[in-house]
Amino acid sequence: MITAMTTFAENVGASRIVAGTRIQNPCGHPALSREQDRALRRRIVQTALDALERPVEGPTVFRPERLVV
Amino acid sequence: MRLELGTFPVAELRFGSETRLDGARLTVDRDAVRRLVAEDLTFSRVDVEIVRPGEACRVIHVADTVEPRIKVAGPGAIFPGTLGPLENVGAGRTHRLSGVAVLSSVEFPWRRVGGVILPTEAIVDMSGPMAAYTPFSETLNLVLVLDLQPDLTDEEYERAVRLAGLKVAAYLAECTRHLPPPRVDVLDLTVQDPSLPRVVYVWQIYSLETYGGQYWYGLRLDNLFPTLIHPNEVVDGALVSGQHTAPNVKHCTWLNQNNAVIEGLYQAHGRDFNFAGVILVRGRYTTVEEKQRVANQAAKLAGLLAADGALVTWESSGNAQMDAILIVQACERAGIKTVFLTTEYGGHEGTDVPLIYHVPELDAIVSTGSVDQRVAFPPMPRAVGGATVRLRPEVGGIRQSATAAIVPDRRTELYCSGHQLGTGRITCLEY
Repeated sequence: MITAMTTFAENVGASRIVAGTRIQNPCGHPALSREQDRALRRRIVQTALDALERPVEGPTVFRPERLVV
Repeated sequence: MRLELGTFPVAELRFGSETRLDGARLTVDRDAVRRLVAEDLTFSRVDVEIVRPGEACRVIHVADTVEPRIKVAGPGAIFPGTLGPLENVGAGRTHRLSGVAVLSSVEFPWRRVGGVILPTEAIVDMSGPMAAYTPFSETLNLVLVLDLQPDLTDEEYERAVRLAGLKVAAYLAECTRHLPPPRVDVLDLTVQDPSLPRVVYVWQIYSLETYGGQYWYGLRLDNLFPTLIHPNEVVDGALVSGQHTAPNVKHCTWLNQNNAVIEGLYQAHGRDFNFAGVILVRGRYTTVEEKQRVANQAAKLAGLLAADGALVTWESSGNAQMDAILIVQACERAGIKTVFLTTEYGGHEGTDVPLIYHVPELDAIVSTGSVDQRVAFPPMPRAVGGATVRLRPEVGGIRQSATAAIVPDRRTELYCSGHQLGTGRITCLEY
């Protein structure tokens, strides 16, 4: 699950939680340029894809700045 | 800050040749009110109507609601920074007309299609099954029916409507200036019993956009960082509402003026505990970090006020509840026993999860009612404010007759029915 509300997602028991940017735009940021927004979006989605391959025990938060948890 | 609040209860409201109060009967010069509002050329048309509790009528397009008040002694004037000059208030003597309210009815334009952050239809039924869902079925209401000149900005419309209600509220209260109030309450936090525990009120407001803001001495509070205010300032109209989105869960000016938490804390002050002060915060931040920072600051301010206990309320719906719950948690972790006043979700039957977030420290909750239970407005013979209501902004808007049965998609159109301040008749019972 990609969301800015990571503690919220932990609260309801989501297993793999990718930290998004803000509530209203979790996969990017409208203040960035088109290229920067796209690059941020790619990083976030790539983090989510990588998280799918990792075994987890309980709710785990993955942060896009660190592609390896 | 010592404030004497003089209350003039009003039991009858009618039009007449001059605005005056005789006992509990308020007579209003209709043309004078119309002229006063029409001074602002933002309005292409101004009508003034009266609706009374128990009448078979509804008011639509409700914008702000204001209780008539004026300052008769002490520094500053009522509604400082918006109507009155920019001067600190909260001391001296203030008069209020209780049991009467000024409602503004106006349809703001929808300038984009879709989304929910649009000024939304708001309905008050003065009788019937939906009357109990709003505080204003119990007040004698002077309704300002306003049409807007086209081609002005949203900011101009919002400001004009906000000022219109304040102007008329002050104008009505003016007729009490030289009258002795039947009841005077003294609001003075400096008189304390040092043996009693100290309780602070943490008040979360919503302020994010043009049609969704609260104003403190005329400043819209989008950038509010947790701060200390004095409850007497709110009594004197320092907190003015510009809320027109999701009207069921927002606080109009009248609710700010008649905040039941502040009233209750003042009544208990010096008797059960000491009312230590009010901390004003903004909620509905879009990252956990911003929410947590506000919670930490609020708890710290409560600690600086040497609070033993705290009451927390919030405004709006959705993730702003999480902001408030984090405040409860931060206060509890600082050793401050905290109670949370909140509406609950729970679905239509009330069996679903009531809150969107939970922490172990959230163990004292007072429910101000469900915002999920489905309801419907019956047909009503008279509608004040227009002929049609505008529903479903998220699909571009659907119009229907204002006097027909109205079935809200959610409960957005129930004016002030889901407010969190405890001024009302709605709670939840478990059985």
